[in-house]
Amino acid sequence: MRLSGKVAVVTGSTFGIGRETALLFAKEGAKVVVSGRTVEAGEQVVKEIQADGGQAIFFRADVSVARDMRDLIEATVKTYGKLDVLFNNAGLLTYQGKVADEPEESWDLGIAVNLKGVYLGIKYAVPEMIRNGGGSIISNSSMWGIAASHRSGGSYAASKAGIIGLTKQSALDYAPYKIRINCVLPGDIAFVGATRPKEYWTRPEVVQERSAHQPLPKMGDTRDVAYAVLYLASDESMFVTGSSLVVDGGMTIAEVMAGRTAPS
Amino acid sequence: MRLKGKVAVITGATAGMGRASAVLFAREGAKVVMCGRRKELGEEIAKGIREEGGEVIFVQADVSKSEDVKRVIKAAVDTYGKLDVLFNNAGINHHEKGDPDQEPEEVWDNIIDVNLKGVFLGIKYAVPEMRKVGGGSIINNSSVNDTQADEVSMSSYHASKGGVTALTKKAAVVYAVDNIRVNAVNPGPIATELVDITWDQLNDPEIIEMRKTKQPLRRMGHPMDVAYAALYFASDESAFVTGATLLIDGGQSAAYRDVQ
Repeated sequence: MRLSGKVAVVTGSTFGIGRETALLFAKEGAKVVVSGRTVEAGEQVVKEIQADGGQAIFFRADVSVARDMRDLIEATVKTYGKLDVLFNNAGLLTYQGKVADEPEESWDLGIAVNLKGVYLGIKYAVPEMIRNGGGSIISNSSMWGIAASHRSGGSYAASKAGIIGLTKQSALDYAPYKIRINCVLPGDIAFVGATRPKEYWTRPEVVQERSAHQPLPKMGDTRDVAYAVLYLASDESMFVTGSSLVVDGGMTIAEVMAGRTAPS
Repeated sequence: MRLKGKVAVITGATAGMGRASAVLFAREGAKVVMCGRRKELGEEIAKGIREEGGEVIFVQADVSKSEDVKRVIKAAVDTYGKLDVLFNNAGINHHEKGDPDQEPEEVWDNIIDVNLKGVFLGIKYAVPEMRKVGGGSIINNSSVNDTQADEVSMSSYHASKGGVTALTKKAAVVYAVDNIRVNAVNPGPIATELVDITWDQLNDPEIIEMRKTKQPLRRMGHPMDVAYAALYFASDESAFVTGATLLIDGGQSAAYRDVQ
């Protein structure tokens, strides 16, 4: 088990990538603190982990609220004695459209959750990790942090790019304390949204629209991101810090693909 | 075991990152074909892997030679029936004046042949075999020096590694339809023979501390650090990852030199 003995906090883990990562972390031996805004969904994730023989608690927190993040980290240490891993996963796509058209409240909310939430996570996790002699922080950026899309928007692009900068800056700051800080940049991942019904993600027209211009002719799965996060959380990535791991089926390295070439 | 049932070819497997990957891939259940130029050393490492229960053969080969690379891929298929994973790891550098106006032309040609053409040849001959089994994973060993310049490496080293990164992306885009993923690992300073550190010295903490001023993490990397990254890309855990470059550099590229 790759996270045996470790204590991990996963924000936004009531659904999607966060939930999948919480389940995987627990399977790999970590004691997991599931966190999010929806109590019922969070308790359900904890139940799933426990039914599988894992250890987890739920702690309600809004990542954009400093007090919540402070309490989340405090509750973690109180329950499990320490903190080894933090996955800053919580994020919102508050607006899809042109930059100037995004309402100011949408901008503020997007930046507060996606970027300030990561800052707050790092802020409160670092002292505990220093006490612990080290740790690993992974933040969830996006391929839209390095490339624009008509399905993205201003606050999303800026916040996700901001996470990459914050990752590098904090990697430098906390390397002397053996705290490694990296981020993952997912592409089009199915089953991510809390608001969409599950069957939406398997509709042929959805899969077609989302993967038509991407080299790998399929959508990603939340598992694909969870495994990338597991690699960065575990000691297998001991020499990796300040890195961005892109999990996007090749989307951001390809020029716009006019159409698929048939396998030769 | 994360590579159970898979057949993996690793080039430059007689030292450093290639050797560590051969050991790790075998432990994770892969049947491994090691290749390198040093036959005696290669056979000895293979024997060690077999002694701990791994399945492995060694094939003497120079990755800059087309016939050699063809022979390695053929040996994998002849011995183990197929090819799933190729780690294009082999690489060289020289320790002499490497500025473009000073690097000897023969050195340039040699380094480009091994570091860049070797990767091209590996991809060239692996892809048809991977198509036969419905996909595969190719990992190329690039470097932080694909985008960052240093004062001591040969110009050809930088150029070859930049080329490896570009070739990784090209191959990722065109072979995605064949379900062949192509990614690169980009190591920073790793304690290997390339920097005059022998395998026996690797676990010496003092050695790993050498040249610690360049990385925020303040130590050199261990070949196993790169082997684990290669394992991630080799396994199905990275099924949605292609064309990616993963820095394993202790934070070197994330910061300017003012790491103190």
